[in-house]
Amino acid sequence: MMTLSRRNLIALGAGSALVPCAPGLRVAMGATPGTKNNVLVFLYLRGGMDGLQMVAPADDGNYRDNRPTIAVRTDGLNAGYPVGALDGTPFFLHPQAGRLKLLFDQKSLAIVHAVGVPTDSRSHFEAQALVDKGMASNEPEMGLGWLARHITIRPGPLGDFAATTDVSTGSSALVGVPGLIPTTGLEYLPNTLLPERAALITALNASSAASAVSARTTVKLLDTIREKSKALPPDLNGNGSYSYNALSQNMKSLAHVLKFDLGVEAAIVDNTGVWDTHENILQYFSNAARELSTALYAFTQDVGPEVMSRVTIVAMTEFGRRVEENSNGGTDHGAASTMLVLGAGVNGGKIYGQWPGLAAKNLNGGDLAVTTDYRQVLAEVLAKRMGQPAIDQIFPTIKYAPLGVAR
Amino acid sequence: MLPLQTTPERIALNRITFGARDFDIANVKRMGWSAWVREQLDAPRGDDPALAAYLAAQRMHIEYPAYENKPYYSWPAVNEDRPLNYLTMSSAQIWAKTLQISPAADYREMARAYNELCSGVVIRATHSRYQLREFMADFWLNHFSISSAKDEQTKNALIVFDRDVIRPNVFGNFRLMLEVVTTSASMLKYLDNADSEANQPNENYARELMELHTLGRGAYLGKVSNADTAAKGFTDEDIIQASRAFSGWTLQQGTHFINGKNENTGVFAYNPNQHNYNAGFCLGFDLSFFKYAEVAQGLKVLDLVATHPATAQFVCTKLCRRIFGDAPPPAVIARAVAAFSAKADQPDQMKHVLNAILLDGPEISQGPAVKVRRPLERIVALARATDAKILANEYWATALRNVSDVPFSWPTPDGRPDTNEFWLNTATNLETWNQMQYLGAGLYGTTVYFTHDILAQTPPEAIKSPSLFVEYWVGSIIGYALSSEAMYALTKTTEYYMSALASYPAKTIGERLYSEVIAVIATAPEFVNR
Repeated sequence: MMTLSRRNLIALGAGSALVPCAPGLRVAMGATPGTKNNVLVFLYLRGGMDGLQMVAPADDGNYRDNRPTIAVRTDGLNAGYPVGALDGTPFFLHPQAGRLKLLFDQKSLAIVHAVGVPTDSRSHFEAQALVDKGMASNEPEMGLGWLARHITIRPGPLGDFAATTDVSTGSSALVGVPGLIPTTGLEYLPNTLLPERAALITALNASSAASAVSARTTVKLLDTIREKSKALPPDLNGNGSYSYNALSQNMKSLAHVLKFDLGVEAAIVDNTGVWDTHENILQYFSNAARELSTALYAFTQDVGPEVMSRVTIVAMTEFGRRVEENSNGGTDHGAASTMLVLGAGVNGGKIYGQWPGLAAKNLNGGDLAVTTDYRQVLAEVLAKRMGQPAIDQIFPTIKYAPLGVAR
Repeated sequence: MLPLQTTPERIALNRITFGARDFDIANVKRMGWSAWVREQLDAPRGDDPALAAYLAAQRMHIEYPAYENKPYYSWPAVNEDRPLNYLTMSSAQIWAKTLQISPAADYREMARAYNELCSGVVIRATHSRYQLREFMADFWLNHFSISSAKDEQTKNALIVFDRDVIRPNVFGNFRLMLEVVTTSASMLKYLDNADSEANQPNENYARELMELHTLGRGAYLGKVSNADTAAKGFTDEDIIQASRAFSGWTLQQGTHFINGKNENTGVFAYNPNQHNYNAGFCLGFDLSFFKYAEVAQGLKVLDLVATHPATAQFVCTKLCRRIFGDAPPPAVIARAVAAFSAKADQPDQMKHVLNAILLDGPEISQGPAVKVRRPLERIVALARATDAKILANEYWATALRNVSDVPFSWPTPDGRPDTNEFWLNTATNLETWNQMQYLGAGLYGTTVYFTHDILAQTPPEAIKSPSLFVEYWVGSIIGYALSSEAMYALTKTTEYYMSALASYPAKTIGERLYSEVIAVIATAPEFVNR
């Protein structure tokens, strides 16, 4: 028995001429897609990633004393990968981050240490909100997210699909960008809105109302992707060996979006629920570090050298964790952590920043002191990779002093 | 012929309901606007009889296999259509029941209370005759936003939060509302006050109380209090003092002996052993005055924040944005603030505020209609315009998760942003369009969550006439004619489906026309904006 499906209905003779459109509104291919532009991916490690586990001063007596049961070691069981020294202190990448070590050795990955948000807040919600807005504590409120500020004031015309994010998580660094598109599931979207229906929606949304403009942008995006899909291999997952965890799946979706070459210049990926290691850090942090390492490596392999020649990834967290381990084999909320900068134009294979040391007198209330403002790293990437000449408008309260992490 | 433009009644109703129906508009025309508003404000407590009967008749499917792992957990297979039992249970019954089944039950049993709640929220929004109460419940639930993802206790107690904490107080006194919210199980768990301890009081609730629920982020003045700060706003020091005042405000949750007993009932309790007695000046008032008066310190903090001028401004502006959109008329806000402050000690303070907004000036029925409806608002408004029925179903607890519009799903305590900009993006557009299209069949797996009978409503002469069909349904859903290009495009689509479906059963024709024509009418800006 024939069942009535959308497909059959269309086969019944409804060609694309089914519905005439309002004059002049048949969506055209945008000028922006196909620009092979540079891309900034902001990977938000939410929950407070312990930078002293990720990039550990494993040879430091203060480190070992403060973390007797959980410290990353220099050799034997739980030995990290040596990644050079900062201010005379040698550092070791977490033992589960082997693929990040590969990228580090290829000079694709740089590390910034003792970096963070200038704040006394130890609230995830507050500190994350500060990062979204590119702020520190007690600074004038900024209207838009920092990435939205960058996109809306950078020189040059604004594309229809300038930025992408997983809209359900509430990341607000991109709120305010016109044409913000979803990362997740984008590759499936054209199949959920067939051209005839899209044309009808366009005909109903011909006015200048903001919701009508937004609807037309959506239809145009789907048309663009549908068109692009024809030129791409049907299986877009050919290259990367992703794991089945949330971060890997999100990076895979982002890889799809970038392969479509829509003109996306900024993306946010949220990595939530794995970094708030108040207990059993040996198990939980190892899992999280392995997921991060494999997801980033798989992504670089998946998108391939051409896309990677344009993509710079910045991974950061809202705060690091207390130097001393707690009674549950974990660590509580702290201050400075590490940032990872990876990809195009990165002066990799090196650790940047200023090492404040872990002697009691150098700590900030038991926490690793913030010696580098996180915005210096973001500013450098915006200035050198994303063509932003007006750093003073993005981060008006800092004195821009590039670390040399990008070129 | 359809009218060419909207009417004042339609504009006003759409702003404070989940969608004006022809029936409502006729009512307003018959009674007059102020009588309609007063009837809504004076609604008797609880569901109207028709809605109560409808909810009682609901059955929500639950099905899972047997499990046996002796001597630990075992349960038999279940496959039944079950009433919404949780919705009528007392707070104590819900707490006991969820303790009893967790974790010795299938996960579908553990999700049941929340699934029933979400269905209840959407059914009430659609089918309640007291639409202004639904509108305000939606506003307050987002104002005191709680995420069900926090933990099992927070989640299951949300039934009580919605039914007994928020709904009875939507038109009531703000100070009283703060007190019942502060002492509710869901809020005590969600913002950690239930686990606050004397030696280091948890500042989470005190901070969000001031920053999100009362004075607002705009009144945050940084670290240190001085002679001027209390009049203008709040500081970190005010938060610390308030957190001391609230320490010991907890639940009987089986973790502490309180007055000699360690019970697990989910009932609010004051635990003197976990109260920090060092609270000093908070918002200019010396809390040490009430040092040994048990909960008096916390109650005083609630008095202080409820009556602070910044609170009147913050709450009233937020409410006006919900009603009018991103830029509410300043005169309306001013009237609302004046009423909020003048009636602060009245049990029906919020009624006065709503009177000031809705009746004391002409703005409510003046266009343009520029507030973007959230995805759930669009679905409910479409259901109302097409006289469809919302059925209790797991669907309502999951379907709009990708666009952050499932009840109690916003992850942080600030609530969903209430700006047009947030809801206008491709992900939201597409997800909403698709979900509205699926309403035609209304099937979630094999279970039904939405039913309609559009052919029975369509005038006989329009059943075979594409142009009359479009005219009738644009009239029901929008109320006035769309552009001639839009009407033409809709007519051509209708013509195609009517002809292609001619030999199919009426049920199929109705479902397809709903998906392909009616759901698309609801993508027009004339519907998306209220």
